[in-house]
Parts: sequence; C-alpha cells; structure tokens
Amino acid sequence: MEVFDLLVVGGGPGGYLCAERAAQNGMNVALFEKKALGGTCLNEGCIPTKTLLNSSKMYRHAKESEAFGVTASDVKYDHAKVIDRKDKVVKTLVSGVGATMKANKVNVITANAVIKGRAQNGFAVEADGNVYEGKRLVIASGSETVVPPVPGLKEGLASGFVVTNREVLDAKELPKKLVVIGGGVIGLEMAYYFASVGTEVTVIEMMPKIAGATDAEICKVLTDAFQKRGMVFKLSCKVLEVKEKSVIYEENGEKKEIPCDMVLLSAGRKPSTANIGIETLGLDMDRAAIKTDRHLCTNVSGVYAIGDCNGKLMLAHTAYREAEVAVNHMLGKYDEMRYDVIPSVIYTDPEVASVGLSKEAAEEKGMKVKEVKLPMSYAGRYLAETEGGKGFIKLVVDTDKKRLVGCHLVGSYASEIIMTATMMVDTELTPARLQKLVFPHPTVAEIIREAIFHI
Amino acid sequence: MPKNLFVNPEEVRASGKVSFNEIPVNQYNKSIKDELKSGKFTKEDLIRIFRDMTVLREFETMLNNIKTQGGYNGIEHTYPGPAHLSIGQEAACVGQAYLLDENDFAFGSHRSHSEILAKALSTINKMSDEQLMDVMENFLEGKCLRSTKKLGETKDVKELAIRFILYGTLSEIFARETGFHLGMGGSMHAFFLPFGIYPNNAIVGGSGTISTGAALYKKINDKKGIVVCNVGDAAMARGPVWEALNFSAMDQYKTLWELHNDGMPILYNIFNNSYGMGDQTRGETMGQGCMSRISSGVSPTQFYAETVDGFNPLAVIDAMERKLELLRNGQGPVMLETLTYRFSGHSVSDQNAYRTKEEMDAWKEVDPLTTYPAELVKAGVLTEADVEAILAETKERMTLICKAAADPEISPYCDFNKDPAVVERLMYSNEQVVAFDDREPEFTVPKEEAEGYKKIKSKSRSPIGPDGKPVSKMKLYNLRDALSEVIWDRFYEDPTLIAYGEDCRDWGGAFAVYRGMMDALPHSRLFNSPLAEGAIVGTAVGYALSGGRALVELMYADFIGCAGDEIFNQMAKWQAMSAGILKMPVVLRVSVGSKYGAQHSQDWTALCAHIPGLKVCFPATPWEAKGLMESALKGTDPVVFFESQRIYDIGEQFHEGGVPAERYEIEFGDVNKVRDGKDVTIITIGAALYRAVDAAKQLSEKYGMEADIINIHSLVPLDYTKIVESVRKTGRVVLVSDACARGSFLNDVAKNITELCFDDLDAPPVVVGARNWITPPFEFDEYFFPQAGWILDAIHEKLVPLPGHVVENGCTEAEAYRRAKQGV
Repeated sequence: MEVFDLLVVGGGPGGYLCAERAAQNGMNVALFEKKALGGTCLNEGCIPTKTLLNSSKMYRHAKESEAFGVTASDVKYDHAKVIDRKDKVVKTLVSGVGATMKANKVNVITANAVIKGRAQNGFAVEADGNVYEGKRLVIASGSETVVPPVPGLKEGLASGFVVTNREVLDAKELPKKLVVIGGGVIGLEMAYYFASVGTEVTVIEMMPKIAGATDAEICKVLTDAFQKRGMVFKLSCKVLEVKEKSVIYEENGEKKEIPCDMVLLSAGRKPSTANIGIETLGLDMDRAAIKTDRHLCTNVSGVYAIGDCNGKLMLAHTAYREAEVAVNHMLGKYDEMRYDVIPSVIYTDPEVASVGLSKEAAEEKGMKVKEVKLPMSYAGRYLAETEGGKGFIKLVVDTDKKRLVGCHLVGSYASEIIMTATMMVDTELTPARLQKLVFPHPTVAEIIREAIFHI
Repeated sequence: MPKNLFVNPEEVRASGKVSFNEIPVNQYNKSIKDELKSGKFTKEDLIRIFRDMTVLREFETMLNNIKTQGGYNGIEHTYPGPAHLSIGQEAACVGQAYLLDENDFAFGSHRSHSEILAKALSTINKMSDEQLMDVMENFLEGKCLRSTKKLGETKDVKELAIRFILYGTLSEIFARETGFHLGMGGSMHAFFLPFGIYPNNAIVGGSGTISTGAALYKKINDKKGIVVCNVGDAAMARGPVWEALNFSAMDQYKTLWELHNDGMPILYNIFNNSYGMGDQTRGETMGQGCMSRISSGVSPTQFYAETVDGFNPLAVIDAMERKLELLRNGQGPVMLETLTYRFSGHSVSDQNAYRTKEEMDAWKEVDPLTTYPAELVKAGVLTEADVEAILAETKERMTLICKAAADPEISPYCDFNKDPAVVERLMYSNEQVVAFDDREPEFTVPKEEAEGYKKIKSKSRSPIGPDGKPVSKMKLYNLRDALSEVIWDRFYEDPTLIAYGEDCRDWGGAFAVYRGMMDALPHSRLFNSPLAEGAIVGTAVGYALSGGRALVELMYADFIGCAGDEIFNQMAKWQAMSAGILKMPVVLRVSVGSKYGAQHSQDWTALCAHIPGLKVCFPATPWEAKGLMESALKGTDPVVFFESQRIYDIGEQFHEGGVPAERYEIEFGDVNKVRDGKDVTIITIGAALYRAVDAAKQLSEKYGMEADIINIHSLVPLDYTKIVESVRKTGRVVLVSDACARGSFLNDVAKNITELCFDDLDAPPVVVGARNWITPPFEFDEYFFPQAGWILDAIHEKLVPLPGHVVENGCTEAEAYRRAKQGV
C-alpha cells in the first residue's frame, strides 16, 4: 500500500492550500473532497456572493447615478442571468484549483472520506471503498449552517421555503418578500443583495444590533444605509415559528407574523465534524469544534485541524493561514497562528472592514488606548467619488506600547484598504514610523495616513 | 521460610484450643506503712517521689498559665507552639521512672513532658555528682550548663542538674538556642540522651517502631539497659504500633538466632488516660476494654501484661519491678497498661466538649498530688508544713527556670538573620564512619572463604572479556553483584551493620542481592522481617539513632506508602530535629518494579526527593551502584536507595575498564556523564538511561546529531555543575525517567536548568516521563513507559525538528492542555 506523507480531509480553502503547500515542500499528499474543490468559500460562500453583489452594485449605479450626472432608463435586472454568470465564475475558479492540485501532484480523491483512526503507518482514511494510509492527517472538514430548534424550520428547509446560503445562490427567481433569520455578516450580505434588486427584505435578529461584533458606530451607518434601501430590521426579536408562507416572531413580548415567499436562514454556522470518523482518533473537542493549539495540532500528534472545523474564526483567509502554519509545523519550521490580526470584511455598500481590537475590547484587556476617528471625506478621492457618504475610519492605538492595535473602516474600498492597516497592526510599528509611509494620492486609503497623523 | 522449621501438616491441622492467661488489673494493695515496714523504700525515697511529682505538675501548670494567661507567677511571656500537657499523669510517670537509670532508654509519646522530667529526676538521683557534672559540662559544649549557672548558685550538684534539665527542656520548648536541640525539636521532640531520655514524637504512636529498633540495637550489640516504649492508649490503634509489637515478639529470636537470642529488652507501656484527643478509647473508638489485653493477640507470653493504677506511684513502681526483672532475664517483650487521667485538655485550646465536669471532679478527688502526700502525712512521713515547703520550693525553682527561659538575654533564639544556615547545617551529618563499634564483627565464615563473595570476585567486571568477546551472562559482574560486593565488605567492617527486610535471608532478598550471605552471617545480622514496612523502617530508625547502622529493604518501591510516616517523618527528620545529636545511618533499599502492574512498578523518587532530610539515589549502572552503596553504607545520613528490577542483570557499559575491583566511593551529588555529544543533552534517572542510549544511537545514525547523556544517580543532593556545562554547550535538553511525568523529580531539574541556563536554551527543557496513569500490564509497557522513540519525538516536537521524522508518541500543546485538564 502506498503510504502518503499527508492525508487531507476536505478540499476547501484550508484543505486545498494545505495540500498545495505540503506538496510544494515535497510531501506526497492525498486530498479528499466529497463535492467540489474550493469548499463553501468557492462554491457556496465568498465567491458566488461577491459575483451577485457586484451585479447588484452595477444595477444600483445604473439606477441611482443622477447625482453624478448620469441618468439611465429602462434598467433591468435579470437574476437568472446573474446566477448563470456566478456559476461560470465558480466553475472557472474550481477548475483552477483542480489544475493547481494536478500541477503539484496532489492526489485528489473526489469521494466522501471517513477517518478510520490510527493505522500501521500513521492514520487511515476510507473513501470510495479504498483505504488510504498517511503519516499525518489534516482535518479540514469545514462548517455548516446551524438549524435552531424553531418549529417549522426543518419542514421549511425540506419544502424549499426556507433556504440557506447554499440554496439561495441557486434560486432562479427573485423572491418578492424575503425574511432573513439572523442579521450577522452572511445574512446581511444576502439581505442587502436582495434589497438592492427589489425584494422586500425583513431581517429578524435576536441581538439589539446587526453585524455581530462589528463596531457600534459602523453598525449605525450600515443600518441607516440599509434602511434607505427599504430593508426592515426587527432587532431584539425572536423567531417563534416558520409557517407555510410566513414567519412568526416575538417583538417586545408581542407575537407578530410577516408573510413572505422565501426565508433565508443565517443564524450562524457550526463546525462540520459529525459522521467523518473523528471519534476513532480520540480528539479533544469543544462541542463540535476540534480543539487545536497555536500550531494547529490537535491533541493527537500528527493530526491537525484547520479552517472552520476548529471553530476559531470561520473565515476562508483564516483557513489559508492555518493551512500554512500546520504545514510549517510538519516541516519543523517554527511558526504560530495569530488570531488577533485577522481582518474581516462585509461586502455591502458601504463596505465595512476591520482588523484588531475595538477601543472597548482593548480596554477590557486592560490596555491604555486612544481612539482616533476621522470622516472618510478627509480623503480626496472618497469625496470625489461619493455623494453624501457617511464613511469613517477609527484607529485604536495602545498608548503604552505605542502601537496600532485596531483599525475599523466603513466606506468604499474598505475591503481593499484594510490590508494596509493589517500590516501595520501585525508588524507592530510605532505611529512615528508609520507616518513615514508614502501612500499614492489620491486614494481612499490615504484616510489611514491622515488618521495616523491625528494620533 | 527457613528449611529447618518444618511446617508439619499434622501439627498445623491438629485440633486443640488456644488458652490465655488472666491479666492482673490493679492488684496492688499495699499501704505506705506496709512499704516502709518491708524496707523497700526509705522515707527519703517516698518524699522524693512526692517532690518529683510536684516538679512535673508545676512544669505543666506553668506552661498552661503561659498558654492561657500569657504569664506565670508574675513572668509575662507568650509561647505560640504546642503544649500537650500531662497534668494528672505525674504519679504514673514518676512511678515508671523510679527504677530506671541512664542505661535504660525511655521513648516518649507526644504528651511527654512528664515522662521526660520523671526519667531525668530518677536518673539524676542515681548518678554520682562527677557523672552529672561530666554530662552537663560536655553537653553541647556546656552551652546549656552555662545558661543554667546564670540562675545562681545551687546547694548541690543534684539541684544544679535538676535546674539544668528543667531549663534545657523549657528553653527547648520555647525554641531557644539554649534548648537541648537549639530549639529545633520543641515540645513534641524533646529528649536528653545522657539521661537515657530518647525522643518523644509528634506522630501518635511514632515511638512504637523506633523504640523497638532501639531494643534491637541493645539486644544485638549487647548494650546495657532496657527500652521503654511509652505510647498513649489511642496510639494502640495505629498499625505501626501493632507492627512493632509483632516485630518484638518474632519467634525467630528463639527458634533461629544463633547469637543474642534473648527476648527483646523492651517494655511497651501504655499510659491510658482514656482519651485520644477527644475520643474515648474505652467505650468508643476501640474495643479491648482493657489495653493490656492487646498483647494476648501477639504472643503466647501475652507480654506478661498487666494493668496498673497509675494514680498510685507505688503501684506503678511495684509493677515496674516485676517487668524489669522479666526483661533482665531475657523474657521480653513485656507490657504494662498504666491507668491515669489527664486533667488538662489535649492541648490548651481544648474546650473539654467530650467530658463532663462531674467526671473531671471525680478524678480530681483522687488526684495523686493530694492523695499521695495525704497518705505520707497519715503515715507520719511528712507533716502538712513539709508538704507546703516542698510545694513552695518547687514553685520557686520553676519560677526561676521560667524567668530564665523566657529571658532572651539568657536564652536567646537562634539568629536566622546573622546565621541563615542554622537549620541548613543540621539537615545532614555528612560524616563517614567505617565502624560504629570497636568489637569484632560477627560472622560464621570469613569473607574471603564465603562462596557468595568468591563468586562475585570471580566474575568479569567488563562486558567484553580479555579475548575481545562478550562475556556470558552468568560470568558477567552485574549491577546486583555491585550492590552485593559492597554489602559483603561492609558487613565485615562494621559490627553494628545489620540487614533485614522481607525475605532477605534464605531467599537472598527478592532480587537476590543478599544471595549467599546467609551462609556466612548469623541471623542477628541478616534476617527476614515480618511483612510490615512500617516496622522495617521504624525499627531501622530506632536502631540507627541508638548508635548502629541499618540496611533495610522494602522490596518494591510501591511499599514506601506502607512506611510513609517512618520514612518521611522519622527517618528524614530526626537528625535536624535533634540539632545533630542523633545520627541516622539507615540505608533503605527500594526497588522499582516492572512487569507486575500498577502497585509494583512505580518510581517514587519524587516523593522521597520532596522530603527534606533524606538523601536519594538511583544507580543505573554497576559502576554507579558500587560507588553509591559504598558511600551510603559509610555515611551517617538516611538514604533511600532506589534500584530498578529492569537492570539488576546489566553489566557495566560505560565506565572504562568496567567496574573496578578496588573499593571506591561515589560522592552523593555527582552525576555520571556516559556519552559525549554537542547537539542535545539527555538527562536520565534510573533504567531509562538505556532507552536514552538507544535514542542517542538513532539520533546519530538517522539524523547526524550527537547527544550528551548525563545520568543523575544521586537526586538529593545534586550538583548541577556538569548538567549546566552540558546544557550550555548543546542549548537543548530532554529529561527522561520512568516516573509518572506529573510531579516527577525531573520537573524540578528542568526548572532549575531553565533558571540557570535560560539564555543558552533554544527551547524549554522537555520532560519525558511515564504517563499519568496506573501502570498497565507489562504487555502494554511501551505505551506507558518512555521509549527511545518518545525521546526522539520530544526532541523533534519541542527542541529541534528532525528532518523527515514522523512523530508517533508525541504530545502536542493541545494534548498537554487536554491531559492537564483531565488530570491524566
């Protein structure tokens, strides 16, 4: 039997990058994926939603550009065509990943993989009726939508009335009335998409604010912008039941009902670790999440868990980095995962992006911090391209250690700009040193430079 | 299992009955007049008995006042330490001591002040002025005497001696440098050897085994006098006390011993005051009703036990006379139950919640301090005025003593600021003694003619013969031979050296270290002990502190638990608690097992190393074993000598030229560097050394890395010089032993290395120990004990990546968290 240096279960961003990096370093790798390479990100998450959001953005620009001196008439939105394009993009990217695997001589096994535990040569995985043995094992099994115990939800999912991020991307027709359960990042992006293209959208959120841990002032800007687009937010509300064509929820102790023709369930995700045989390994778990250390090692030497399945930060780019840390550990190269400098983005309009700590979080850690807040209009390009924009930047600076520890942005290009701040936080340079960096002018990113001089 | 004692099934299975003799209880019925008439006592004797009782009573009353009222007779003083007072027990103590002299050893309970003082007063009365002056002038170079003399002139030497003993005892209790043990022993550990007063003990019943060992010392070394073991009634429930009774009553003294085959010269005296702390032994926590009944279960002689009224000093003297005669006729052991009552609480915090005022009043009605002088007055020995005069004199003396002991000018504390090493110096005696007595060692065959010794001498001391070929297992001088050779040599040098333990004689010890010695040594020097670990170690402690050298064995290290108090509290602590007056030349051999599962395979070095006062060693090569045993058996400190059953048969693989035939010592603290390398330091304890050697070989062959290997053969003390030297060179260190990793001694070494070499280290030191489980069956050894592969895994995971190495038994950080959280 061929003994692989590494078995990777799951072909999402974590899994395929891990396979790629390991192979590049001379390991003989087997990668198991039951559906399509690219995982949730490529097939059901980041990438398809971005294609949709971009279409909706173009649609809105076409319709709403009077202030810029542009008027368009008879603007139409063809949702089915948008979906077709999305499928093509996904297909291109997925086949690109496949090609990369091939180029690196990664053995891709497209079949459901079940871990069989320890074996003579390390660990065994069964797929497609064959048993594969490898000296090391990486579990990158991803995550899945949480289905809360709400009456009618399961039935709704079965009938297609209730959809998750997976099915919603394949809906050929736009719903007229959409109820989104959960106002977190995933729910908001899709809610915003549908609202942008004419659907009446109601978001029901249990917490008193949307977008999870995002800065409260940013949330206010977002909420205002979304409400302008006609989105309705039911905050501090609890979904009680999903009926055939409506959702019943509780608001201030009152039972209310919203009729709708589609429900999007986005009440969070959980590690997808059931039914893949991990119980054969004796892994230390935190409910569904596999516990890992700063090297992505599990408690079992030779077994790693990367990406959503370890429940740390369910973001594709976290998984990428984790994949590399794990491979470096296998190679004996010192490396360790830092979860405190991982940027996050909401791809709505305006865009939201942040990295590091908020002022409140930093103070909770006992740090002495200063917060600088500037309107985006300090950046010439922002003013040039935006009408009535409410965008701003917040920098959080540790005044004891003289380091930037957080950056929070809302406004155009935030998703692209945030990496500049990420590098600043990660490298721990002093504000005095950061002042010496030259930014191209005019760019929206200059807002960071401006803010640094306000520290 | 001696062959000459035939276990006859006909006898064993024959029907019959076990009979018991009656035990006399409070049979004494003489009056003072009777005694005077018989001429046994003079008037002076009877008065002195009263005087002694008043001294004891006043001493305890004084302490009670100081504890409860912060002063005594106008002297203000606070004393924070223990005071287990014996008010009420004076007649019992004075009666017991009356016939004893300085050659008789009396060991105390932890309510011992009266026992100590009574024995002292009796001895002072018997010793000549010259003897007394000699004792006082030479004790601690006259330090106590000089302070005593500051109290003023005395009418005679005896009065000086009385003041001396009272002052020395009280300043010891008050933790003063002028105490008998620099104040390091205190109330529960006071004693005075020149008067035959041996240690009392804070552990209830602690004296049981120790005094039995002292009796063994007297018996085997033909020393004058007898031993009194004083224990309280509650102590009779303790296992080690039972073990001691059984040890003292072994048949073998009569059936097998060629020499010294008299009975044990020991009196077990139970001061029965009816209470433990607050529990009643009669009617509540015990079931004998009468304590003297206990000996009936131990020996057909029933220890000639009787119960005597300890409220009448003359009744106790009467009983003691009979017991001493039995002992002097070689008919020991004997037992007395001396009934008494304590008016004071267990300690001064005692609220007497467990007894009624009515009960205490009833006993006070018969308080010997009033009834005995009343009898003396009635018999015309004393007048009321005489009684008052004696009481006044006692109080006056006590006031003088108390004032001096409380006065920091006369009685200073040890100055820890000026001399921070005051206790440190007391921890070990660090002496070398070839022979503890100058008589000829007893043997039946000269060493050079003994087959066992000759066999060892004929073996090849190196695994490679002169022909360059490996030596056969039968002819190879192994680790067992190394231990054995030294023990042979020492038996023929030190006449006091005795060895015993479970199956030491005929079997030769469970692991054959004593094999062949039975043919050359009498039973009194090498014998099988009962399967009673507390007694094995406790008697060794008593034997050693009396002046002999004991080598005892517990077979498996796991049995350390059965002798926990004896090892951790007695063997370890007496040298320092006595301020160096006692020596503790005990070598305790324990063997770390394999193949025998969870209760026979544990390396408990960490437990022993944790206890201050013990020296701990664990040789892993024959060269180490020989040198360390030589050191241990010449030293004067207690040594827990670990051995491993995995390597008794192993030959010397490291020392050039094999194990020298000549005698040599390895200094405790040194380490053994067995391999040179520059890339990583592997530190080992015990048999794990050989797995480390294997790992080093793999490191060299597979990864081109060379390991320094240092074996720690002496854990306490330990010189870090060579360890630090190696770690500074390699920057990497992994520590390996078969002890369970959690709390292993290696963690202490790792911590010290981290502190001493932090800047030189590439990574934190890694400890590779056994898993924190029970030891599974031998079939699963490789999953429990560190293997060569584990060492490589640890190096790869935590020190330096080994190219291409795949971890098999590693411990990731996530796993370290998990194991710690689960406690496994």
